[in-house]
Amino acid sequence: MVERKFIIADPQKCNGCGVCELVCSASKDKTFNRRTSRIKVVNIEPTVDIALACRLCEDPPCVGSCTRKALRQDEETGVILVDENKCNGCSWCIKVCDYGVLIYDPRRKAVIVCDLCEGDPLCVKYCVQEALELTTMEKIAEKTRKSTVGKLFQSLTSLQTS
Amino acid sequence: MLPAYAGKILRVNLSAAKAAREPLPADLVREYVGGKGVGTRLLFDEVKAGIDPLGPENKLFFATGPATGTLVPHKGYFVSFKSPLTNIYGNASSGGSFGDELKQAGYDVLIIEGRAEKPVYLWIDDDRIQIKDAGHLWGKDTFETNVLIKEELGNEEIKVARIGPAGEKLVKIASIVNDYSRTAARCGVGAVMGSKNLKAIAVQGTGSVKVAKIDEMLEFLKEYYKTIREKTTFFQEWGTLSMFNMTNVTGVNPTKYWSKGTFDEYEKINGEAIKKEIEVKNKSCYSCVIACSKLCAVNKGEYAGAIVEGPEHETVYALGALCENSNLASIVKANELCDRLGIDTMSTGNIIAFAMECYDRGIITVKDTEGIELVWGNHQAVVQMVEKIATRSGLGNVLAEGVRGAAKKIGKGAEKLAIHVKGLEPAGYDPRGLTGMALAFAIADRGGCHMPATMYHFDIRGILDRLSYDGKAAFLQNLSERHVVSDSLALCRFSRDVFPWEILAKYFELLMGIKTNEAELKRIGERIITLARAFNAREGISRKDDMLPDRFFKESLPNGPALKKDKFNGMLNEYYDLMGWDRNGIPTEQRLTQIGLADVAPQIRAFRKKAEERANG
Repeated sequence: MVERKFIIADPQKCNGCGVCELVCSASKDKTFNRRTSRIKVVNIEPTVDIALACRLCEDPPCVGSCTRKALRQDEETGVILVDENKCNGCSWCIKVCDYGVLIYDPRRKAVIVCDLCEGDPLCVKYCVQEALELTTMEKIAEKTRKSTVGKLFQSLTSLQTS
Repeated sequence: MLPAYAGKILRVNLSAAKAAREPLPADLVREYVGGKGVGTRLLFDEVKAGIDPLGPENKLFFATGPATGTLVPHKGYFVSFKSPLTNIYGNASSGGSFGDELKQAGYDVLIIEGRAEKPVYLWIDDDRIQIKDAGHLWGKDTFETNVLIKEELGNEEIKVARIGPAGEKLVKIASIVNDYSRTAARCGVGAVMGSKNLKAIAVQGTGSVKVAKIDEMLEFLKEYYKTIREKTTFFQEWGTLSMFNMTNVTGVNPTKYWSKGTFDEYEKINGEAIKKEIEVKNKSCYSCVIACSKLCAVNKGEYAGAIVEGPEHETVYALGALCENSNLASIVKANELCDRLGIDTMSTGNIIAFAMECYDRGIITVKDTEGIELVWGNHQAVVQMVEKIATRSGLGNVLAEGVRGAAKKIGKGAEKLAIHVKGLEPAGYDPRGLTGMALAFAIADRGGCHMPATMYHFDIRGILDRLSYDGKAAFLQNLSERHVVSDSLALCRFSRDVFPWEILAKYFELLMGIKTNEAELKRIGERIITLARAFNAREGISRKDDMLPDRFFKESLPNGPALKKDKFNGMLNEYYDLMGWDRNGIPTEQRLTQIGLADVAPQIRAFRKKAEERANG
């Protein structure tokens, strides 16, 4: 099975500048509007800034909650696809999403959600802080393993490099 | 309407409790762009000469620019008004995201006029405008007010610009705070808001900002972001403190109330100390790729718990070196108090240091200070005085008038000690060692200000000969015109190095679809600068006021020169000539006509005569 890629933000690097939001609305809607961005910056003042986008859950509750079958998950990429003709904006999907990353767009009269820009998300490209990353669960785990082991064996790894 | 504008002005009259939407005039933006330019024109047209800055006739013009709300790294808003601190042209600006929200609500400009009968706040929910009771918010600090309004309106996403107790009490150096602790701080803008009984402006804007060439903008910025990042590494690393060490080493870091140019203990409060001891992370204004702001927190000692975006260079100089205060945590604490209570850190530090000199000379005593030992380096005194000034308590009530006003009230020779230009306390660059700054402070529209022409950067970094008087006027003219155009697009001054004329022209094309060039933009810049000058001329300002404190000519720096008056005057003449202002500093009718300000000429005719009469004795 191909591992599904999704966007994560490093809270150490993200400073809440919102460039990702404006790039998203610019590319999708040809306007600037953070409210209709598919990636959302969350600020908990004054210390926390982090951008959130769809996590591409297995068995996504948003899809299950849609009584009109307006949402489905692409089998290969895991992206949530919205049929704007079927969506009536009832917002059940928004309510059941644990991450709050489905957004109701009043102009479309439908929900919108990150579609990963066909596998090459613009927000990641424009993130000069390099806080955003298109990655997989396995890559995240691998990074964590390396950094944890690195910390545990700090004395040994420093010996090797010195 | 042109792309990149919302196309509307929101005018709120607090006396009548009425709000009205007006179209943003097309010729206004063609001639003045937006931000500072548009605000200056509206101020000139709508606020008559000689009014009381704290009376209902004064107005606040919050103006965003074409770049606000877009991907072009920008500043949020500029406020134009008549300053209660200086009694002349007032301007203050702030980043964060309040300006973006205002523009998304559909307004390029928000005009506040009149005076509410009792404390109110304004709630702009797109096109629904409400003036709401603020009785329960009066007396609350800016941090509390932000939280309370968000709770009351049940919306965490809204942006709130608000004043603290200082603005309510008409402290002449009061600020407006937006986002968490971003401030439009200078010239007493918060006191004007307080005088109108306006505690806060809350905004929700759900609309979009459209620009002329969005795809081209995305393409352009993808590459240009790299240039911006490369040219601003020092801001990313050290924030505005990036100049602090060099300022000190050059001997132009104002210390012990402008009596020294080096602070021996500067390493305890510089960028390195901040990074080592208190820095938490970088913060950014909305849509900025530089992110120069440092979030700092104190976690031990008597100031534990103090947390602030900053301290910035000007704060560290004023609350630190100028008071010979090397206690970094106390600077963070004082900075936080300034933000909470709503006063300008730069003016505050100057005023406290001025009071310390008065104390040193016995002009004020421990009886005046109610027991506070106002001696150099007493960090506790610095923190205590911040609170006294912001709440007008005890001696603070006198100091709340600003350095000029306080010196007048104190008397006993204090006026000779006061360092200000036209009533505004200067930024942290001693002009005796930086001739470019001497001219910049002298002619800046709002008084002793470093922002209209950042000559310090060029003088300190050795791009210009910092002690030479030659060629400074021409350099300053070009620089200040470029700066004011960028202020009118609403770009940030800290991207100074990455916005040459051709990039400003590029932004006009991408944002508004206007093809322009350096010559045309310079003309716009000159128009705005001269219009601000005309506003000041109408308030009685002329050459006599384009002067620095006498101390800068009479007392030299310990390791440097004093200013030479004849050379300084030569520089001033040169600048007037370049700008088409007469030798009394009043714009000539011929030049006014040439730059599209023919209508302004009759309004300052009488003042030109007066200045001539005065000059002729």
